[in-house]
Amino acid sequence: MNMLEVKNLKVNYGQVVAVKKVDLHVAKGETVVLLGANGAGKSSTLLSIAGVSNKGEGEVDFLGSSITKLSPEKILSLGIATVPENRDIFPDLLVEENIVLGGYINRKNSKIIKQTRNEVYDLFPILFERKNQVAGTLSGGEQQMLAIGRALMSTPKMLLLDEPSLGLAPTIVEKIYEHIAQLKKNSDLTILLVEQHAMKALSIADRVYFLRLGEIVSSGNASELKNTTDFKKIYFGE
Amino acid sequence: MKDFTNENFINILFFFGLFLLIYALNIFMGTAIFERILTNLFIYIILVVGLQVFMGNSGILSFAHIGYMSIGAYCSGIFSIPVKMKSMALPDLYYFIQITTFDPVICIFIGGIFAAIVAAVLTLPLMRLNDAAAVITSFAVLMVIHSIVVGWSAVTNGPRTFFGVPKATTLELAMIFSFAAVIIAFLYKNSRFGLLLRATRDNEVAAESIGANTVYLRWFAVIVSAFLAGIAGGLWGHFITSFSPKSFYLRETFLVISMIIIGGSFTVTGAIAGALFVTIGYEFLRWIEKVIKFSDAIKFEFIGLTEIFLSITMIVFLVTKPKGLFPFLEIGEIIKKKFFNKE
Amino acid sequence: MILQFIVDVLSLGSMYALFALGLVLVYGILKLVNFAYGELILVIGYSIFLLKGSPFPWFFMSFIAIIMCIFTSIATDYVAFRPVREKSVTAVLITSFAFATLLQNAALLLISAKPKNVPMPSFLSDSVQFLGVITPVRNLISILVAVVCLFIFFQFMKRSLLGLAMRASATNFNMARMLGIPANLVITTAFALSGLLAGIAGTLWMSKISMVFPGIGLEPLLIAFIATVIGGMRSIQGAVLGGFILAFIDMSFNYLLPQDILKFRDAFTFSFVILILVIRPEGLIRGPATGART
Repeated sequence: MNMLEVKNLKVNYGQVVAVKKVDLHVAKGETVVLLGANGAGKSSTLLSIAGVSNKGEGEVDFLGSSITKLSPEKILSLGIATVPENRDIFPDLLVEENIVLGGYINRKNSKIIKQTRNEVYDLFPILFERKNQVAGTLSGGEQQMLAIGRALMSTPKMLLLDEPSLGLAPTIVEKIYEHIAQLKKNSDLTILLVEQHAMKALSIADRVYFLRLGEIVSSGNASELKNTTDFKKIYFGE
Repeated sequence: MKDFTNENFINILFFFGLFLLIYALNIFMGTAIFERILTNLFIYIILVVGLQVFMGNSGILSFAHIGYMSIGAYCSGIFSIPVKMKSMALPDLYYFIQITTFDPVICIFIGGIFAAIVAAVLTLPLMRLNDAAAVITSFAVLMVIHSIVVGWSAVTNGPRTFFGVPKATTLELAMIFSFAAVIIAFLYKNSRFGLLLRATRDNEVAAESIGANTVYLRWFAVIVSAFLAGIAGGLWGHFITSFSPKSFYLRETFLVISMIIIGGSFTVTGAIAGALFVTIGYEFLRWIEKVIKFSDAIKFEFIGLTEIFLSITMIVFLVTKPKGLFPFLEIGEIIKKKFFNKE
Repeated sequence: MILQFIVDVLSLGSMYALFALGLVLVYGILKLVNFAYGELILVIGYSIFLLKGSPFPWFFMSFIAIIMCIFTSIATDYVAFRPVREKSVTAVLITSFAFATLLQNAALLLISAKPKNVPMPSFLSDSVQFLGVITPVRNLISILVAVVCLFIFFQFMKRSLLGLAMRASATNFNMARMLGIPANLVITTAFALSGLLAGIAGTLWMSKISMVFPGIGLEPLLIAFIATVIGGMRSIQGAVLGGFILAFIDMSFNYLLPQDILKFRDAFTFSFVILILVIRPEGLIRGPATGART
């Protein structure tokens, strides 16, 4: 059984159809990447799974049960954590406060909180250095790390990452992906990652889907695709 | 820039016909009570249509509207009370005003203009505000106008009754003014000002990039809106002949807001429909209150029942039809679509 | 003389600040203006009035009244906000306005249009004298109560997990939910706290005017409104500051204006407020930074 199954997903914002038809699945422990150009519908797909966006139609199943109509809080409690496109850290709160909030769902279990907190700070030492700093003063890359660390605090089974490279300098993007790779190594976290930045994403992916104008146009194993150079065709079509 | 396309012609024609129908209805019914209700209706139409000019195009809710109505009422009244009466009604009045009297219709215009001037002076700095702050300050404007009216006894007779206003408002006069107000509202809506203001309502930044100056556009809309409110106030004052600051406060504000909400603030048709709907409902409930009182059937004073009903109706409407009875299309457009099927 | 002025401003400001805080709490998280907020004073007043003559001590009556206040505040959420939250911002403004009218007219219908006396312990009106200042006991109690409440409140917001969750929700409600923070809990807590603050401030208000009538909620509502607009609608510190500033402005005009102009005091106050808004439309304290359009 797949961890996540998305069937016939359709997302509209009023009259605008952002996602026409998406079918995808993610197996336990996999890292699946959703690639596509701007406006392809990647974020909409992700936010829809997370319970934040309006779903027009379709089914989303997690660990065999339907999560299609659930609220974002409920979906998080079932084990899916989201790192949204703009990081969406709370800029007026301290770094430490952001992290603590991430662990809200585990608040009754101080042992787990302590443990995950340490893991997060181990993974991102810079956050530990800045833990009493106001989150809004962090650099873009640091904020991205904070957003990921915060998501990890809920000890999720699955992580949804929306364009982690967005707005970040190449060297920083490099670092972020190193961290993600590290994360993959240390845990059996299942990841669904959405990206425009094809190369970097492929380096950590197991499987890839290509999204164009709201539909999946192709998919395959990352290892095969790494050797294909015909991205232009897939991104932009004939 | 007027642009009379087909729809607008139908709009004007429709309301012309509707108003004539209402007028004819009065001749048919013939009772004084009915005439009173209809005159009130026409006056409220002017009031709500005036509110629509600002609220519908700017997207900002304004609680100050009744305040402008009061300015119109008092101002027009002060100038139209016959000189002899004035010394009795307003003994402390400033000499210049005490000796001048104009024809009531002129006074009504003076009232409207004065209301527009007050609105212009008072609200320019507030036009920069958005959303919640704009609404809250409009509420405060209502309070301030009220407190000035209550306090300026020399001119308004303070909290006491302001009387002596000649009864100049007939059903015909109210209807004519009402029709004029509807035309003004449509003219504004289709003008460049109305168009640009609506653009700022939908997306302020984008609109400004094409040259819309939000502050001045809103300001202009407030002025037109206040003018109409002032006219309505003047007409009403000359209908009821005596009033006090109490008549221009929260109860009336609630009434006029319920009209525009139920009818729909985006369209002039909505404003008129709302006025009709609420007036009919209101009069009906008042009649029930009276019947219950007189029949002694239930020994209970049903004061406030009308407001309670109205509140509940408003909430229900907002939940089920938040944009009102006529959310997008004017009646002219609806008729054109249905009967002429032009695409 | 100066000291008297300071005490007057502080005691008035204490009430105003608590009031404003209750309003901003709901606005900050939900971005909704609660027009029925002033009616919480109506609830306090009439609750104490209705409990008059009961064998309970005054403290207990106030306690019950405050509970009723909290209850009404939460009810406002269910009646006026939840059904229309998704619809439009204007809709929400109006439903709460309608609810306020409903409450006022319910009081009118079920009790009376005439003002009713609300008994308050007499010791509150006794005068106290120190350092050349003469002031009723209740003024000093207002200051004390406000200091304690504000301290507890800000500690709660800063240190407790729920307080943290509420601050996060005020910044970005969707994101907070994506972290598993239950939306309903946050909202209900906000309304409950709002009711509590209004209840406490309302009790202080009652001790000042000792009577209640259906239209009583208007003045407090306006005060809360203006204080938050001055202070900045998106900041809780701003609301508190705005309350004190408004009290300062009101008191100043009280002291400075000649007798016959005094009745226009509200007009003056408001003109001053317009001035503040011309210079700083967002209010004096800017709230949490947010990328989204408010």
